[in-house]
Amino acid sequence: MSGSRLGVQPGELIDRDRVVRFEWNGTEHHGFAGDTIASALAAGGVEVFSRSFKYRRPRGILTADYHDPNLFVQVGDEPNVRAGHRLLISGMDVTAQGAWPSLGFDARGANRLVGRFLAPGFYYKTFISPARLRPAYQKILRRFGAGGKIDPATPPAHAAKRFAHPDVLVAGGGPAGMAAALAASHRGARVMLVEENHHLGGHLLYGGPESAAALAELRALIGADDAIEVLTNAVVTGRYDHNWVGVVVRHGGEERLVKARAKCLVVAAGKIERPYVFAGNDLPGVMLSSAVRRLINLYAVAPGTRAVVATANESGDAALADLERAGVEVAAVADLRKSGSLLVRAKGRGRLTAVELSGGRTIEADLLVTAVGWTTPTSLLNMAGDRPVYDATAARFLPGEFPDDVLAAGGVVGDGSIESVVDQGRVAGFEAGRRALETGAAWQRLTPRAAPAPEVDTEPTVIPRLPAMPHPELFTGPTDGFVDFSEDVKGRDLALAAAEGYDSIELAKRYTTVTMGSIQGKLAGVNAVAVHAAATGATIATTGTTTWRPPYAPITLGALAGVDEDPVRYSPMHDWHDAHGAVPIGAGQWIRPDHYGDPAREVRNTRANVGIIDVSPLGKIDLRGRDVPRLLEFVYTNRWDSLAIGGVRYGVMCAEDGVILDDGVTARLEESRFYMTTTSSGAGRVWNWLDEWLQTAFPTWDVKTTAVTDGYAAMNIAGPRSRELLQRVASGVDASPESFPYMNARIATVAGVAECIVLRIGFTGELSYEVHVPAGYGLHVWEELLAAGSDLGIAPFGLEAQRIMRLEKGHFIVGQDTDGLTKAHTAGLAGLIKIDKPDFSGKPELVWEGEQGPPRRLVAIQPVDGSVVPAEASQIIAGGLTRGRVTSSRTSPTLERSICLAIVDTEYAAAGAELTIRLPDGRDVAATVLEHHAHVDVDGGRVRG
Amino acid sequence: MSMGGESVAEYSSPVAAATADLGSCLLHDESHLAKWRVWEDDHGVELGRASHYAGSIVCAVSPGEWIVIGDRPDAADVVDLTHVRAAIRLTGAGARSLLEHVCALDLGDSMTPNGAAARTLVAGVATEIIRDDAAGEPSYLLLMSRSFARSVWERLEAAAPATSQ
Repeated sequence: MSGSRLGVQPGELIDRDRVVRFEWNGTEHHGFAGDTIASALAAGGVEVFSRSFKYRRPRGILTADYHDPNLFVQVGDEPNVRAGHRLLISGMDVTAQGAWPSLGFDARGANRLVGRFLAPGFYYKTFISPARLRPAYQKILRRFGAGGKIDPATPPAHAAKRFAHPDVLVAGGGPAGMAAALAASHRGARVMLVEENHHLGGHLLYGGPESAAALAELRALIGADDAIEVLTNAVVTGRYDHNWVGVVVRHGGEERLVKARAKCLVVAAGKIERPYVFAGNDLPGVMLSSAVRRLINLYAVAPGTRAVVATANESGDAALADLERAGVEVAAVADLRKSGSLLVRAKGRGRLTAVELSGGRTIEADLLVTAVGWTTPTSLLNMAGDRPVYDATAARFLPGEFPDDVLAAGGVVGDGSIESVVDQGRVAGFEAGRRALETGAAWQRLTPRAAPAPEVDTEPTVIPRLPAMPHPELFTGPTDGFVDFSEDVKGRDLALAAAEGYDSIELAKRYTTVTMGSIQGKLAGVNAVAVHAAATGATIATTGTTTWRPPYAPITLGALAGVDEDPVRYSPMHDWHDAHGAVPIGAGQWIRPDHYGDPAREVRNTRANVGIIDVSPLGKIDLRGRDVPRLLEFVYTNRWDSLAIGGVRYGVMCAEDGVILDDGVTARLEESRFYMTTTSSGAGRVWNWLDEWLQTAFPTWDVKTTAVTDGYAAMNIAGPRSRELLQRVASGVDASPESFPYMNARIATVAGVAECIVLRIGFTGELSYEVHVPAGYGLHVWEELLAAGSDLGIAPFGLEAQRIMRLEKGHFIVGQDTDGLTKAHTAGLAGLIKIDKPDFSGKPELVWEGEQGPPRRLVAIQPVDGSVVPAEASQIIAGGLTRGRVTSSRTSPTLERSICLAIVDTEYAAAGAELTIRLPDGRDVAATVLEHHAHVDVDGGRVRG
Repeated sequence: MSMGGESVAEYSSPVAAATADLGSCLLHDESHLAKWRVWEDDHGVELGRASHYAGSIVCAVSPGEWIVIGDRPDAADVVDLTHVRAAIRLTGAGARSLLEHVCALDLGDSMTPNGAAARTLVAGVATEIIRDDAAGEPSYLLLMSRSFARSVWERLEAAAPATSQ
């Protein structure tokens, strides 16, 4: 056991009064509140946390933070939890991932023995043929995958998103980011400060007394500033055009997406410490200096008992000081800044036992600390168009050029004392605030609803560029080791790829999968470039970096999905239907009653007595103005200018290609006031269609359209006794057939509600009245109609009964019996196409279709065997070819036999033609074409009665 | 009340309750208010603004077109929207952060000050949003097609717990 809990450390994040118990691979462990899973396990002596992806090598702590490639664990049913970041919670069930049968003994570790077969391109080269075996290969390879397990029963997560509009968004809550946020706020900007860790501070958290004092001061100022919204345990996942910035806020395993539109983005992402490539560099016990500093200072955990420190910078020196202060024996220090001082290899089986330094010196140790340099996490800058430039003196890439609404601060641009980093961050934040306010004022000037734009300072402040300090170029040692710990890619793999001709770093990346693993190359990126450059004889500068794409850190699908956005529409009578046994059905956005138990009985009752249906979803458009008749003449195929006040006409709208767009009835209520109804699903489309013509082709016409679909509850009373019912409840209208004939409309007071519109129309093939009631009184009128008709045998009917009755009557439904090719002649509407009108939408195509004769026709058909109901879309065949299809089919309760509408080729469409319908089960049945579309009320006696 | 004003009929609200207490803010159903659309060359309120005028709220969210909440406006071209649009009022210190879960507009004081009006999507539904602070408290009046009101109301209720995080 090498790890152990130290005495109290000055900056420790743990609360020693709160012990937290949890399980690791079925064994009970404990840590303290504030521990990460990894720090608690390390304190308990755990050294091996995972097995590597390809070679199944045991792996331990490398960085001890979010980006540690070796610390992916399973927590309960949540896979891929980052143990270096996730805080410990009481009762957590933590298990190692991908280790089978156990972490200590992994059967697949045999891969190490056959490592030479697992060179880059191994899968492509080996598992490619024969093709018939590829599914089997896939199955076996999946078993070897290193990811966690997902329980298929896990319910889908829908985490609420939110929108944010900060003036300045600061990515990174270290000293530069905190200073930038404060300065931007001081300038008058509203600031969002996003920090990946659970606490603000960055490296100040583990930097000693001077850091602690600076941190305390910055934190106090931020805590007192209401204009700064601090999001910890959150990450900026991407920067998109115009500073659309995605931020993911984590709550344990749940994540929420903040969609931020920042006027200015300050990238203060700091620096990421880089591992060193040498033999044995992945043995548990080999750690980065920053990992050692985190373990000792934040969690009071001794990372080992006998250490070798290989350092080339201040971070390594500080880790050395931390180890000495913590009482860890330091057996040797290799100062890699001195020429000739080398780190040759790490030795050990399963964990580090010794370190070989230059001159053949081998030192026994259980901890090897490396501090060989930094990587600049320029991701967000790259997403803004930056191409980082390699600086050989500083041994790292540095930011190049990026747009004016993006600024960089702190370690991402250079090095310096706490004071100089804070100063640079402050100036960057001050300038970011100024730019944001300037942009905000411009937006305010352009936005009518906004407050008057304030005067803003237009004088920019020059931001000092922090100098990047010289650092030796240290990427690989004299031996080969792992470049990418996530993907198990070694230096020799990259060399082989180069030798095989992958001479571009982008190609080598895809071939070897280097930087493509779970931490997306945050540690491996620059080393991969260096190894590739050496192998191709190029320089790091000319090789360049691979592309860094969003997201910067992974996002759960639940956070991306958000809450279901599809709104549902409810009729004013919805609750009544609900309370009266309606079986609901989704119809577009609407919830409607499909039936109330027995659709056939609803049909029979309507045909015998009177039925009532809620048709509120019908599209309704209020049309006003002198030129409404001209508009109707244009959008419908038939005549409208002669429609009298109180008249109603059925019309079909066609698009320019003659294809049926929608149908419905329109009433003339006053000289210049019309009331148009559309299909339920076509309401929005038709409204747009009217306005599009008015705005583009006829801007001078006096027509005003208002969508009033939701303003009226609509109910259709249908059946031979519907007139008697209307007479009982309506006043101000004479319902007698002489004064209120078929295809007429009246404004009436119904059940005490004034200004109702009553349309006498007959979709169901019955005497029927559609009563449109101001929506707030819809329920009242509905209930009054039911009460008034109780002795007439009134009963509600649903969508299914209506569909049956309209099919009996032979009325087609746009979109059901027509499709995107059905022109008006095809649907049998020749009588409604007035080609003598000067113009109307679709006229040229319909003239042509009329001259040629339609290639197909909509017909009513009846199977010879009336007990057979062919499924809708059943094929109609002749001579071995498809000649048409059934578009609607039902059993008619009125005729007690099956009835259909179908579209068939014209040569098979004549009345009396015999057709063959092929059912989905392969049986063929005979059917006959009828003369008219109607199966019931063929002469119209019922609707006109 | 406008249409059916003389009737004895009982008005029904499009949402299930008249109010809902969401902790940091309150939801009120104000759908019964009379609402009108006016077309005119100038109805006195600039685009993007809403004003109280003689007991009514007049707002302009589209060129040449005004929405009036209150008495029937005196103009030639008027359509009654009372039953077409539902009205939900959201009042309280947490109203803005609640709306930020369902509305992409910048609702901050500089872009959406008191008296601002806009047409946008709220919970996926086309909505006129009017900032109409009441007694110093932030308040937003939302007008949307009546059939969507229940969905919007329920989305606002569901979003309320998320604002505390």
